[in-house]
Amino acid sequence: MRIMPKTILEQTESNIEMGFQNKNVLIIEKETDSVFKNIFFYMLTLFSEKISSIKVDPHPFSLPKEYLFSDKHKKNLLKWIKRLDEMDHPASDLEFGKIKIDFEYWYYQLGGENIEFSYHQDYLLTPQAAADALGVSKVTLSKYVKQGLDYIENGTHKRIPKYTIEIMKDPIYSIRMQQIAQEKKLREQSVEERYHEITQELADLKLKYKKMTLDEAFGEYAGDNMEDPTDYYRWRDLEEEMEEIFRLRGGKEEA
Amino acid sequence: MQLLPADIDEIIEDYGHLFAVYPKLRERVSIYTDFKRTKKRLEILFPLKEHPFHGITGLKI
Repeated sequence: MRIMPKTILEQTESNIEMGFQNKNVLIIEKETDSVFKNIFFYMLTLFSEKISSIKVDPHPFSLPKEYLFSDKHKKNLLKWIKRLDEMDHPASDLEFGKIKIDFEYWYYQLGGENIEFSYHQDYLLTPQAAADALGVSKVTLSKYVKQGLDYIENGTHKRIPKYTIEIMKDPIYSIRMQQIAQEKKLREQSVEERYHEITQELADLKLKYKKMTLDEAFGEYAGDNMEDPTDYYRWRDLEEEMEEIFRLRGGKEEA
Repeated sequence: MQLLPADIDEIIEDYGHLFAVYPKLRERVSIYTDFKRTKKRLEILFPLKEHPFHGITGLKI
């Protein structure tokens, strides 16, 4: 079932081509707005059995001219028109997840501040059910949630929308999902919140290695000869970042 | 000068066809992609398709 008449899509496409050729700000702004609103509308309509609402901040996009006429923006617009042409019903969880993630990613590229999806109760999984579906422990699931596996707070409980299970099985989209969440967190997190997070992560490393300092845990840095230097770098960078925050706040470094 | 993190879009575009995840490899062991980004670090685990000779690489099981 086609959701948008081909003629309208073709018209939009040729408007975009013309807008780019003539460097017409108004046309590109108008078409960007129209493509965005169309996807927004069709997501709510086509996936109404999954999504109950999508909230976005009410400010209109104000795109810098360099971005507006960039190849990236043009490519994105044309890609979305193709997507609108192909959008179909019913869509699998994977297809829905891909559209949702791409839409979110595009929204933030356009300078949006916050987009939130709400789901119907029967589209949500308990953390245990999600862990079982992914074949991981609940501890590992919490790690993924912390890294950006989509979830919603349901009172005091976390609930996982079903599409995330299929998305985790897609190596590219699972990166994208984590990337969106973490970039958003970076934008919103206060220095103090980050400081507490670092303290927690350092405590976890100390417990893991049963050592209080980086030197005790790893001795001398031995570069590529180390069996697994990941935690060495993690530990070192966390300490550096902590010191930087401390300095920024006018504190003195420990002797 | 600040070093910018790798261009994920470009890596995905160029090498995405080589990635693969391994759900339910063993009891409670699955391998998915891992992405961790802070102001100082970018850490990503790209699990790769099974190599005909080396097998599933980078795994410790």
